Amino acid sequence: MIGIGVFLLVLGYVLTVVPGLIDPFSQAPSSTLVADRLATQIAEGMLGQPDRPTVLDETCTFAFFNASLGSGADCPLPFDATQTDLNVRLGVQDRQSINVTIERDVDDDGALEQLRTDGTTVSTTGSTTLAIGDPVPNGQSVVAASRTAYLDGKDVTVVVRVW
Amino acid sequence: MRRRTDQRGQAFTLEAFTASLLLIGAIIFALQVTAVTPLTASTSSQHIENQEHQVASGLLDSAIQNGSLRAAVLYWNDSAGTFYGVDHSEGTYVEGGPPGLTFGAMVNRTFRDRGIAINVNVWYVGADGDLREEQMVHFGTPSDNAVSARRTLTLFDDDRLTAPGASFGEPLSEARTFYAPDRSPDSGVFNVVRVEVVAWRM
Repeated sequence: MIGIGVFLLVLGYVLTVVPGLIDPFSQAPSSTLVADRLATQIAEGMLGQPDRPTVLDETCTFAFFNASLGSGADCPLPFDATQTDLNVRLGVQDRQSINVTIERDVDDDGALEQLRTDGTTVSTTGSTTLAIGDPVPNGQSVVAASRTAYLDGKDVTVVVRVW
Repeated sequence: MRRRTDQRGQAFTLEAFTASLLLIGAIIFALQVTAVTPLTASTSSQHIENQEHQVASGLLDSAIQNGSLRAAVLYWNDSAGTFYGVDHSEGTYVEGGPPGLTFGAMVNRTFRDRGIAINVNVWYVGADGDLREEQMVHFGTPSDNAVSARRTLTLFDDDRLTAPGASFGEPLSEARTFYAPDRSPDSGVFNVVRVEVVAWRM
């Protein structure tokens, strides 16, 4: 009786502990992949110039965030700026929520500030916010991927958040 | 007969203990032979390394595009034989990118202020044709999870030193202590340098 009791205890311990050890490996990293792929697709394809991928084309970039500022038809990776559903525009499943922003540390405080544009230049003031997508939730894990890019004479950060 | 069966209880108990030990032993063995388990202490993450690599590449592209990378490579104090304003004991910048330069501000904004350490090395073709390294920014020895990005830049004989002081505006062909030698004295090309950014989490 003692023997089988000990054996069952050990067996139970093993069965409960082992899945926990492997758990971090078995989590599907799909959001990570989506975020990374989208960041590349946007920064180096849709908005970038063909010869220098991370140097963003202003017309394409402004059009991406505001369809009235231009068209995405002539961009290296053409897109339909009038398509309001970001998932359709980027080719991502509906159940993924996406948020794309262009940010820069304008005041050198170590934190990134949201950039805006008036249609010709990029600054922190302007009518069009360089952000698109669903509002980022606070109480949920969000995967972010970022790229450094060059826009309107400034080094900016393209941030893609997926959840 | 009955007596003999009763006496085997001890053997069964021993068997159960042996089986338990085998189970536990198998798990311990499996954990020990695996180099990396989810519980291994490490700051590595493929996703983060990808990000750092892409960010470093983007930074170099931006710096080439606005000309600040060339200005940084030429930020040479010709009388001291170092980059301008470096830490005297180290001979490199140790607190961030080159101070006072656009490239320095970009590097600090992109990496240092976000807790990422960087080294910036400039590789050039030495007088004997070998690749040599001149450290520009040196935070320390990179960790095992460091990533690097590099871009090449061609320097010309009439590129001018950008550092303030007596040598300001001096063309490369007249500089005395510039790290890279003139590999092509007969042409306008001076040398080709490769700027390498190594980034890792502090």
